[in-house]
Amino acid sequence: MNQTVIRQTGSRLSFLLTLLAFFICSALSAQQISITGKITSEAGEPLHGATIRVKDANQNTLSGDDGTFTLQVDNANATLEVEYVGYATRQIELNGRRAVTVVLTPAGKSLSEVVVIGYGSVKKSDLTGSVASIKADDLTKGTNVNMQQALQGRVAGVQIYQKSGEPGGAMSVQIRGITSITGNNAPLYVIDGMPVNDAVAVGSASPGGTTSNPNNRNPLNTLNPSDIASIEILKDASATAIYGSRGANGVVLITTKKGSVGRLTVDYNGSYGRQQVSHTQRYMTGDEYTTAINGIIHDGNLNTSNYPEVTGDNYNTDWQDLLFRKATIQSHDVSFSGGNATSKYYVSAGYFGQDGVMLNSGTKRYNVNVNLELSVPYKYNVGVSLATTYIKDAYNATGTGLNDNGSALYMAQNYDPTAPAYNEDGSYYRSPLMAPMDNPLAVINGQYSTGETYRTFGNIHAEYFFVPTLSAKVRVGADINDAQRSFWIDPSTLTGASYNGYADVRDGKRGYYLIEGTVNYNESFGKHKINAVAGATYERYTSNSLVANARSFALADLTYYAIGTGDQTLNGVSNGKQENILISYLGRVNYSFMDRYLLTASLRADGSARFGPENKYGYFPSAALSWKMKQENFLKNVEAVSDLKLRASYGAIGNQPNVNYLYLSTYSAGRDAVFNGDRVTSISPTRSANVFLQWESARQTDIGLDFSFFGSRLSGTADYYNRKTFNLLYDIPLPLSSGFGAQTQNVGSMRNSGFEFALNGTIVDQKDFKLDAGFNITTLKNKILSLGGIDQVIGSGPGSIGDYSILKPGESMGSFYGYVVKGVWQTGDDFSKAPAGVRPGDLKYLDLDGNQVIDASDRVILGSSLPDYYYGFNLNASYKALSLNVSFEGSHGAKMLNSALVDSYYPVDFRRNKLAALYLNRWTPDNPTNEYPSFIPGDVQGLKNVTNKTVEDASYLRLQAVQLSYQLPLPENKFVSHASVFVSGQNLFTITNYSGSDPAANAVGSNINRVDYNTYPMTRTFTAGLNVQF
Amino acid sequence: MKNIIKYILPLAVLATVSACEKPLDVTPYSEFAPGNVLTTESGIKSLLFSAYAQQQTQQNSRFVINDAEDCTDMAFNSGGAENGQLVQIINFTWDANLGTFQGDVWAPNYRCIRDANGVIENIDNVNTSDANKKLFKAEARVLRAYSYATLYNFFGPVPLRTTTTQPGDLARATDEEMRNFIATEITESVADLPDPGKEQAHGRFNKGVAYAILAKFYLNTKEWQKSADACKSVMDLNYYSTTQYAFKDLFRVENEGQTNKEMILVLPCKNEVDFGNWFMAGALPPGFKSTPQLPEFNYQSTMSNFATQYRLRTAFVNTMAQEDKRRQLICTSYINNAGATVDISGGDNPRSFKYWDNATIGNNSGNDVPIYRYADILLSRAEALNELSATPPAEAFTLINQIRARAGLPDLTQANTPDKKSFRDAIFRERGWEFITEGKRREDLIRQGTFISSAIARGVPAAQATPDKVLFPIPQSEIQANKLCEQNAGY
Repeated sequence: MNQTVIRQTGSRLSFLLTLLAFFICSALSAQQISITGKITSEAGEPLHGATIRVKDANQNTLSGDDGTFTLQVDNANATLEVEYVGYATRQIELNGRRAVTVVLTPAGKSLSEVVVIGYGSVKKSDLTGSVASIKADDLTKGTNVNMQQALQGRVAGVQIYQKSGEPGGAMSVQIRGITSITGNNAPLYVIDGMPVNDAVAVGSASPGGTTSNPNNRNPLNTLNPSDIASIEILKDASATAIYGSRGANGVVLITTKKGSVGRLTVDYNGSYGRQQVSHTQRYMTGDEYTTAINGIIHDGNLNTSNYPEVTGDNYNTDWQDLLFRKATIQSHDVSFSGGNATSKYYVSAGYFGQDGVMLNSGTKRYNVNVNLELSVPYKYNVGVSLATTYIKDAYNATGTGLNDNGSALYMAQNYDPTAPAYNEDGSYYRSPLMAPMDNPLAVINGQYSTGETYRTFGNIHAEYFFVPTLSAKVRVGADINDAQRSFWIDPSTLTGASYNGYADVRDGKRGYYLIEGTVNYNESFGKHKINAVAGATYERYTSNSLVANARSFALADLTYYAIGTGDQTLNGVSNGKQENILISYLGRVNYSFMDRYLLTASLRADGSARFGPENKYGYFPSAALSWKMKQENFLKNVEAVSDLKLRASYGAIGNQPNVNYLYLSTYSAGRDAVFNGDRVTSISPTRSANVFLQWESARQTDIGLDFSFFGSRLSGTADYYNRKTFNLLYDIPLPLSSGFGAQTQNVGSMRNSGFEFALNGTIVDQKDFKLDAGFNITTLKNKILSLGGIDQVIGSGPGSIGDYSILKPGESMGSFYGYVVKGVWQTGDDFSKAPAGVRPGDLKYLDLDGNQVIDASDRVILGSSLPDYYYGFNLNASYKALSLNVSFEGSHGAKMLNSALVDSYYPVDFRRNKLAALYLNRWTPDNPTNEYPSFIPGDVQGLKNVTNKTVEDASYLRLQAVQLSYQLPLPENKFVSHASVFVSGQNLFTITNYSGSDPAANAVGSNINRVDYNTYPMTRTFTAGLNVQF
Repeated sequence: MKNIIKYILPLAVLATVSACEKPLDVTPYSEFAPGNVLTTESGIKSLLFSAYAQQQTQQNSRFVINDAEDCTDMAFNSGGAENGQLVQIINFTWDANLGTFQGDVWAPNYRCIRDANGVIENIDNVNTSDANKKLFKAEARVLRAYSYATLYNFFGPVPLRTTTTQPGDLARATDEEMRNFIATEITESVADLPDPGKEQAHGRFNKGVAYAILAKFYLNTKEWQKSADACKSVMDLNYYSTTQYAFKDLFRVENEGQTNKEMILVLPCKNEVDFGNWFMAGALPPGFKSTPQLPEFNYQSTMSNFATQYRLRTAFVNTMAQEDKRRQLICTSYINNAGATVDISGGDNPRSFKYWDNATIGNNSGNDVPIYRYADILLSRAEALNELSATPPAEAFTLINQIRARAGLPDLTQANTPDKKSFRDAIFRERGWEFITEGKRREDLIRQGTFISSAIARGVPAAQATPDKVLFPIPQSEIQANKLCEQNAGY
């Protein structure tokens, strides 16, 4: 073993050894008494496989097929603990009895559930941190491609939105706001104890100058949501600090389904449905367009050689409609599970297929999942959890871009609606006035890519109990993501014709490898109870990429399947390989006194290869206190209060940069020089390295109250959170005169604070009729406290939007920065106060400095992309065999830049189609509106793009999902134990004032500033399905 | 079995942390270590080529051209996304936030300076011949000086970075420091550069390029004698010629390269993504199909035709004589897709077709963008000589008449251009006609002293066309990040 390692681990080693010595000394010997008993359900059915354990002692056993057990105890007054999956754990005091019958009741949504936390689990009642726990049954019903969709609106403090309707498209998941400016803002996902590498294997690209989609498909599409048993979301520092450097954005722990004791159970769930575009933006029809464009030419007395009039045949082509379709969505999942006293298994296979509502897009997933567990309680536990998935994605030309680099939808929205789609010979019609845009159909059919992803993640773990109170556990895992994406630009498109076919194949591999060792210790000493874990982990991340492209194909039939047939002299190739390592030491102690006062303290030390020699290690401690008030005498007998617990926590959590090697000065391939007419390679500095780069650190305070009243019929949680991020990782703009654009530095700080409130109630609880309701709301206030001496940084948007965002101390992240439109210059106005050259019908801007020029100094902050609050509520009603689930979600106060408005107010080209509402109600001398300008080209004030007109309020309330299911009455039989059918609808309606494609859309890569930029439209889905259990 | 587990597990826990020799050291497999780049001949040469590549901003050249012409009597723009920036250039309402100043001029030139500095400060440690050391160093010094001359032209004196280790906060040099630096660096390096045609690859700097940079820099700073001398040094190389091609063939892709004795320095373009000249896509009028004025131009639908319109001002085009052969590259009438003939001679709507290329692919044409042409050197010497004399000297007539002859225009004579003033006017008119779409109009009008007055004469409000506008503002990003860098007056 290496010397350095010994030095680093020395103190922890001695701690482990002390623990070991302690246990070896604790030998046991006493007289034995034999106890017999039976475990049954409320209905009197015997429960096979329940664990019966003597409290505070070593003995335990399992119940047999008939529910009976025999157990030796030392003490006639011992207490037995009886545990059975899905049932509330009971404690039985023997009081001298030699035989007992224990009736278990199903576990409800009570504080007695076991909740998974980092590197362990605790009873929900013993939680000291802010942890939300969702069981599979409580996820939003419907056909979901990934688990984030099913979590939307379900958990206080967690804001989830799907960024577009693209099948399998990117999700934005933010827990308690935004932590980092340029670091990562997504939570850490941990599946069955193994952190998963959430990076995409093949990143976004726009080969050959096609539209670029900064939103990659969600890497977690590889996890089948129907394999999920529960999801725990760790929100406060006490809960997340055990994940140290990856905990700042919260942690999502996903537990997949395990087998349970009993005979083989076979489940089949299937669904089939149809999707359609939920909202289409209304552009002018050919008739409206002809009238509006010719009207403007006439009103403006425009030179028709530059502004040709609309003449000729009018085909009234609805270009958007030509790209849309009704599409199917379906899923089929089969699982086999079961087990006996020592072994449990769950194996499943699933298929999910979703065609996109736009042509040539879709996703298909085939996955297999295996969970095996061999265990003898308090002796050993060995298991494997493995999922392997194949995903086939189809992508059309979706993304952000301008003109010929725009998406198919961009062209459809902008294309001349009087033009026909096809020529008489069947070829695509191209309007010369629409150049350089191509026919939208040519683009959607001829610029596409396919992706194939093979991902396998899983881990094996082995735990050995030296004594029931002390165990050691080793986990070894890997997450291998191997993907290939192939692009094709067909010669039938304008771009493809210029290349005579263009193919680009990108191969990417992401590897993640984990070795983890932990020691667990659980002991009670009278009123004191200790639960401790200590361990070390080694994690390695690798990535490889290979890109090859070819063009000019003699015969283009084989597309990207034969890139060797392109013109060899024009081939391009590049590759890259990177790695990162994380070494961590962790420890946590939960201490409970009298089951009333709980203390949790944790510490994680993370060493990352992403930092220079001086700053590799970061230390992330946390502490939490909790007071179970219900256990106090003054509440013990208050019937109405079922439970009451106060929590407070404080801790530090970290964030590392997304990028490797930032501290290293190196050289990489530069721009090619051209000599003798040929390209010649060059080498230039890779980056402005920062050897002082260190951990971004967040300190979070959380004060919370968990309550439950009236026999747990009303329960809930309220939290106040305040997270201050220090040493923000930020790409500080360098003076460009240094030759570098930016350097990643640690500067400044920001705060996210707010309240979370979640309430669940059982409104009606009768034999035949049950009604539950849940509601949650989260407020969010984000404030940049400092940017390390920088006054403000203005950011640039996609396409030709230009400056659109601002970072400024005192303001919120995601702030838009632009101009204020006060109205429209009217004929009678005093033009001596107007900017020179302004005409009646031009937009009237707020001239802040009164210098009669509308320039950069007249810009103001136009609001933030972050909501003031977001919320969700859901209802579950059941009447006899019929049940209904309804869930709503909403957000209030977020702003969004609507690029459709930008393109219509500030058109790139006069002859392009525009939003109907604006052009049909435009300013004319006869319609002196203050709402819309005259749209006559030549406004000397220029393109202001980002204004209070184009940045809109994106508050909304959405009926996210409704499901009605019916449990089929089954005659007594040996084969089918349960069968139900359901119909469901997703995204049924949205209440909003937002005029763009969808108030939850975001077509840009950043989840900080939101831009609705030709967003792939959201869908409305109706499905029907069947669940059968054999 | 159990016993084995008992020992294996704790060991495995410990093994976890001792996985490798230096646990947190990683190798950037796909990046070069500085030691290998900065001490080897191929490494330092690759860094020198990066300095060249940064300066060869093919795709940005359209903005560099329009920035220098749309604010003059020559050119105009409408429509498209680019108009969002260019409308400010046209109306003299530009400010420090205008993206083109930073993206097309400031940043690429300073990246060239960064890499040139890297070459200069490491060249002595490179394992190569002394001849190579001298050559690479001379190329790097002249490249750097050229970038500074370009920056000086746009912004006036700028922060003078001469090493890669200077702090980010760096004040602007004084005007004198700036001028001395540029002149000295070139003068000291010329001897180590090869004669034109003798460079290792066409496009790398030679004596002709170095003298041309110097000649134009002195001309723009009105150091007439030094400019005239530097022009003479170019002429005395006896390499360049204005009589090789007809004017309309000077810019043809097939006439590019070492054989073209008109071109001293160009931005070498290729019809490929990132290396193309995009000007023609903006110059094409709406629905363009063909023009009888240039029948050899065979427009294809795969050639981009931008929404933005790069236009010439009618009044400017009207100053050109009908017989001026340079009119062959100006489109005033075309046939559109509907087969109709469209007259674009009026309404500030003629188009410069200097960069037409039948092999254009999408946006990308292969036409090189001239930076220094021999015609520019001849006209510069003529201008300098005129400024140095009481009346225009005979040599000045000889020089300008070489250019006029190629354009098919009659000679200027003492009779029709008798004095310094009329000769100066003639030079500037000639330069306008000769260098359309070559990005020289702004500096010419500034030298002539008419940059502001001609804008006001065109109708730009005097409140906008202020005298401070002869310099563009330092990009706002630099002002914000470099605390010692002060903005130009008036911004």
